[in-house]
Amino acid sequence: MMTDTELTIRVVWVIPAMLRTASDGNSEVAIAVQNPSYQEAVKQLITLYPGIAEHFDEETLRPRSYISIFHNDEQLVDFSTDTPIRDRDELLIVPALAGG
Amino acid sequence: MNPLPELTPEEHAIYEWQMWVRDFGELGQRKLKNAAVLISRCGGVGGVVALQLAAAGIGKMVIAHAGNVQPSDLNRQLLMTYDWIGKPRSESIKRRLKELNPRIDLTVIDQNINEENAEPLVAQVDVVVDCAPLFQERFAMNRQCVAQKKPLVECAMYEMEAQITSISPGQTPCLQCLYPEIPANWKRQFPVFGAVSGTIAGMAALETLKIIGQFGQPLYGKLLRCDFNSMSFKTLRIQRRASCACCGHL
Repeated sequence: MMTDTELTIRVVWVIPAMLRTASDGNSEVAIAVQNPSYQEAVKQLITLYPGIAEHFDEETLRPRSYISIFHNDEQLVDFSTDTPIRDRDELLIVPALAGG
Repeated sequence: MNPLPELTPEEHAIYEWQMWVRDFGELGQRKLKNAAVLISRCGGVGGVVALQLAAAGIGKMVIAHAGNVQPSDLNRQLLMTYDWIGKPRSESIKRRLKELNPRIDLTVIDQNINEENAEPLVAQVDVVVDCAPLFQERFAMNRQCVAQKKPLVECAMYEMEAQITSISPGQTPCLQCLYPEIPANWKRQFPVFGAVSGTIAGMAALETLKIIGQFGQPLYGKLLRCDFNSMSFKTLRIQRRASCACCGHL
């Protein structure tokens, strides 16, 4: 019998234009995540696209200060990286922009 | 508090159609006539914000934008003209805005926002619209808006994406709540269509009108993210940071 922690879920990362050189030009990336949490979702994204790693802290996996992460339209601020993620959740990366 | 100025017969004729907008009306128009706005840089975004607010009948506008008109301005900076290449942008801005609205009280300074001029410039106005291409300018303006408790419309774009929020200091997240530090990797030159910068500029002008006219629901505590490739628009909820170096004390 499968326990909750062994579930594999599907999470969609939305990658902004500024970071797409690191995601082979992809604007959306669906990944499979075991032990569903923000931390695991970041690890999977970085495994798939190592170039994106520079935008996250190596140890904590929190975004750098010029990036905000939104979990289903809700900004993650001062959050625990154990924050649970559910199947079909969306994680959106929104970088600071200054184009004017 | 001074009474709102009356509208002249000419102003009634010019603004009649927008005064039909529910919850705006003549009272909103008089508030607009009484209001002052600062626009930082008047390029692809700021130029269209300025045009829209001048057309709508803002009473006073202060614009900060240094330098001379460059050929590469002309794909999006609608206040710059071909015949003015190599000449001061500030003069082109004045000329174009006055052609549209000769009644406007207009100050255009041939400087960009910096730590020294942000304070006196923000002090002259009721609302600030941030359209600067450098984060140093954006952070300086954000700090002054927080210090002087002035609303700030924060809008920016990159390639086919744009984002906008309205900041009410002490009530909503400020720019540094969203992004605590200046990004090291931002490049002054960025990919841009005038149609993208102009679209987010139209939204910024509308936010300014709502804040001054006190109607509708400005994007307070919300970040509108626009992806013009897929034409998808998301309204995201943003949060204040208790530890924010700029507004955490409010």
